[in-house]
Amino acid sequence: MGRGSRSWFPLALLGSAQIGMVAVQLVSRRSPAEDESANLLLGPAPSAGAEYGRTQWLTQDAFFSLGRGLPTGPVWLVALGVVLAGTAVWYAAAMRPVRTGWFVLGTVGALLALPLLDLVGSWQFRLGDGLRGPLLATLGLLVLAAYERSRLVLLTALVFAVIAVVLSADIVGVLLSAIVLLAAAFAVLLRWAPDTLR
Amino acid sequence: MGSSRRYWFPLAALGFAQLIMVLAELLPGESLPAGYFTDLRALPMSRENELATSTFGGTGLPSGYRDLAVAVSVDRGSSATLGWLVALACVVAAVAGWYWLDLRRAGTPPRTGRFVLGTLGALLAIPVLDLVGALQFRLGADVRGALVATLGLLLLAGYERSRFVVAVAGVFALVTVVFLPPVAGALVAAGVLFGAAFAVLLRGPADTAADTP
Repeated sequence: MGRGSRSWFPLALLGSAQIGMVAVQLVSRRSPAEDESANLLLGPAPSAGAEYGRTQWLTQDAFFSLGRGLPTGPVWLVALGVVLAGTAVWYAAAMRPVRTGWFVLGTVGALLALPLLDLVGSWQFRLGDGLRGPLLATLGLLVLAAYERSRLVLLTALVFAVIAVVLSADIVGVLLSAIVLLAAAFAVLLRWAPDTLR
Repeated sequence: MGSSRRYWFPLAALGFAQLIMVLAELLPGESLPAGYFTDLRALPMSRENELATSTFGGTGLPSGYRDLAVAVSVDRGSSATLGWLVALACVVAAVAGWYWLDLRRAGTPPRTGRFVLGTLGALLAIPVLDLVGALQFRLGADVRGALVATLGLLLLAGYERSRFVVAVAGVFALVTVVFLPPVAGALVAAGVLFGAAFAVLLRGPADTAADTP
């Protein structure tokens, strides 16, 4: 097994975390809709007349892309923290680091740096909520590429940045970049273990 | 390396197809307002009447609206939230291509005529099964697509004689049909499929198992 074969796991984990993020967002966008329809049923009759009651009655499944949903910034932070912790555990299990103290220290430092960098991006550079998360993720991917000295991971990071930051820092961009990450994870896995192709 | 690990590809392909399906649904396009409109007018007809009469004490809706609602609700039976049919057809075609290459590589090339016939039969079976589900069992469009996908997974499990794929198909059906609303359910199911595909890939070679505990 080559050295770079470990790096499929962070890619896959980040992709899965992004899918989970989108799912959570979609589910959470659903709840205000239900609240609203409940209000419509239980509250006093609106003054607009019969038209109001009729047109405002929406089925719950049709309500996905209305509503506000969760705030984007904290969701990104939580997802990135989970990915970082999972990656640290994965590398600890795969490499069995000799100096445990340094490894734990580095992991804790990275976990602390995450909200710090987020704050810096928010205050110093005045970046939007949906933009800081993808930027931090790109930074993490670049660090991973440098550590593994893998050109494939570097390419993935660039494509990720182009899609998630430049094209659309929206829920669509999150899903698209998740597809890219998962495809890259499969590519890494198959490249370093070509026998499993069959 | 036996040829027993090749079924990671159908799982991953179905996962990617579901992600793209959700993506196509989330992309703001001209189809969304139409979908909302039909949903608005068509579905809760009885409840609307109830609402109108109970809240406002009126005589219900004028009869002209009822005609409109009936006309649109007929139309709604064929529209799905997610484009299951196209996605499943693409997945079947991709999987057929994959197995064709794999069988040839493994040294046991399949008979061309039968293979093409089987692929075309599977491609035809998707809309037919969908129609049967719609007309005979009166299922919703998203439930039909998920059930056809589950059937495909079960076929794969039978062909590969893998209990693991049976379990994946069970979880897939639970997530997409029972638990969640269609879009979020498709996302979670895609996550399940990706996890299964990685598990299949990693269970394969011995050196990978040694390298990655």
